[in-house]
Parts: sequence; structure tokens; C-alpha cells
Amino acid sequence: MKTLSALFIWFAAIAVSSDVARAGQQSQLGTVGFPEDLLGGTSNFDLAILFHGDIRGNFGPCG
Amino acid sequence: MGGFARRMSYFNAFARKYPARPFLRLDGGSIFSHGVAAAPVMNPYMLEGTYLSQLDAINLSVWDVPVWQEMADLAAAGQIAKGFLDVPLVSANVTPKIPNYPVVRPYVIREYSIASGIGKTVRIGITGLLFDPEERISRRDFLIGEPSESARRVLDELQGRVDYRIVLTDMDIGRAISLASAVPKINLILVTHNYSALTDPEQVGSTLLVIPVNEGRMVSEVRLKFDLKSVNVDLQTRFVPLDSTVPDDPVMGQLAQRAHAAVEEFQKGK
Repeated sequence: MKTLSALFIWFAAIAVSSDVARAGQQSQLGTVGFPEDLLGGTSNFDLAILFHGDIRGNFGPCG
Repeated sequence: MGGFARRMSYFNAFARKYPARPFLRLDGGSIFSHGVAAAPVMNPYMLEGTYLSQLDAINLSVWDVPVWQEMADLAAAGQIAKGFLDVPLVSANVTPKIPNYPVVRPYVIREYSIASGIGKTVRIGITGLLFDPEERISRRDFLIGEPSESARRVLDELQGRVDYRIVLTDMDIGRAISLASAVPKINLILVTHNYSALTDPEQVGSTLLVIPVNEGRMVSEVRLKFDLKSVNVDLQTRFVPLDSTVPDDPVMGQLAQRAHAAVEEFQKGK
């Protein structure tokens, strides 16, 4: 019985880590659960420039 | 708000939503932490996050000049990866005289095919300007030119080689307005001067002034539409709040977790 429980836990752990890995890959590609309204604005453009400045140590998130 | 994990998540979401549209990632500088006890613990993580963000250009600001030196020293001592210093630092008016400082280029040029003109490309020139009227940066260690003259010199060098010119600077908004008047060839100035208020971009003559919200709370965005038959550029500007509705990029999220843990550990040990 103990052996079966240990096997179950082991398989469950593999499933969780696979999900984490897949979620990571998806998110690297784009928008898992990303709020669509933040991507609004005109689609009639050739080039976008995304700016930041004065981050000042906020590796994130700050208040 | 803010943070590397949410910013990267936005970059990725933008790329997926507009797969055929190129975008530039620019940072006006003042990236690092300064003047707090935990700064030496935080800043290597700031460097790593900056490196992983795959930026196209980063301005060298007064705030950051000494920290870039510290990071280079840590890399030379093998305490952080040397590769993290391989980032596109730009400045029209700063030349390091000291050995071992990260590479500072006078400008970078990026060239993109544009969707509205088959076979047409647009070339973007990007430079930076450090503003240090109080001479806080050692003139023994750095050659620092007057900002307007330096901008003019670099833009002259870019003449005929680029279609759109961007200056990233840590000068205040008043000086930036003067710069726009004195050097009208600049198409866009990013004014990184630690402003916490939300300020709409302003057109000064032919120059657009963009002021980012500090501490990375929002991404400032400009969308450009080029008229291939003239020099006109249509643009739309937006602010994108990096609030709690924005999911973390997993890799950057892990970086932020490591950084938080390191700072907590440091604060416990005090």
C-alpha cells in the first residue's frame, strides 16, 4: 500500500512539473490570461515603441 | 505595480497580438536602486532582469553611471555573469575613460520592414543624453559633453542613415523642451526624470516628448504609421498600467521571487 501511495505521489509530482513547464512555454510565447483591453488602440501602425524609464530598483511589483 | 515579470508579459502579449508589427523596447535609464542599504543586493537582479528584457537601447543616466561600474567590477570578480553586461547602452555625450566599464555606444540603428509598404524599410536611430549640471559624475573618469552639442553632432552623423531619430535622456522636462527647440531634427525625446505623475506626451515643434511614469508602473507606448511619400508620421500614444491584472512572465517571475528572497534575507541579517 505504501509503495502504491509513493508511486501515486511521484506521478502527481511529474504531472505538476510538466504543467508548470508547459505554462512557462505558453507564457513565453504570449498571452495566457493577459487582459485583452490592455492591448487595445489602433491596429493601423507600422512600428510601436515601448518605453520605460526610472525603474529605480523596482524588480517588481512595488506599491 | 510594475516589475520585470509584468513588463515581459506585456512584451510577449504585444508580439502575439500584432505578429507582423515590429516593436522597439527602450529604457531611458535610472534602472538601478540607489541610496538604500539593500541596493547592492538588489542591483545584480536589476541587471539580470534588464539583460533578459532584450531591450534595443538603454540610456546612461547620472543615477546609473556608478552602478554600471559596480556591476562591471562584480563581473570582473566573477560574482555575476559577464554576459549580463552585454546590453545596448547608448550615450551621445558620455565616453568612459576607465577600463572595465560596460560598452557605451554613441547610438544604435534599428531597421524594420513596414507593413504598409512592401519592400520598404524604416530606419530608427537611437541615442542617449546624460544630464549632469552639478557634475556629480567624475570628469576624471568620464568624458562628458554638453548635451545639445553632443545631440547635434550625433544626429549629423546619422544624417541620411536614419528616417526617425530618438533621444533618451534624464534631463528635466524644461530642458527637454529647450533641447527640442535647439535641435529640431529629433523626432522623439524620452524624458526620464523620476516623474510620478501621469503626463500625456507633448508635441514641441516637430518633436514628441514622452514622459514615462517612474518605477516602471506603466509602459509608455507610441505607435507610428509612416507616410512613405512624405516625411510625415502619424502616431498614437498610450499608457499601459502594469497592475495586478497583468500575469507574470514565468522566467521573470522567478527572478523577482529570487530577488525578493535575497532582500528579505539581507534585511533579516541586519
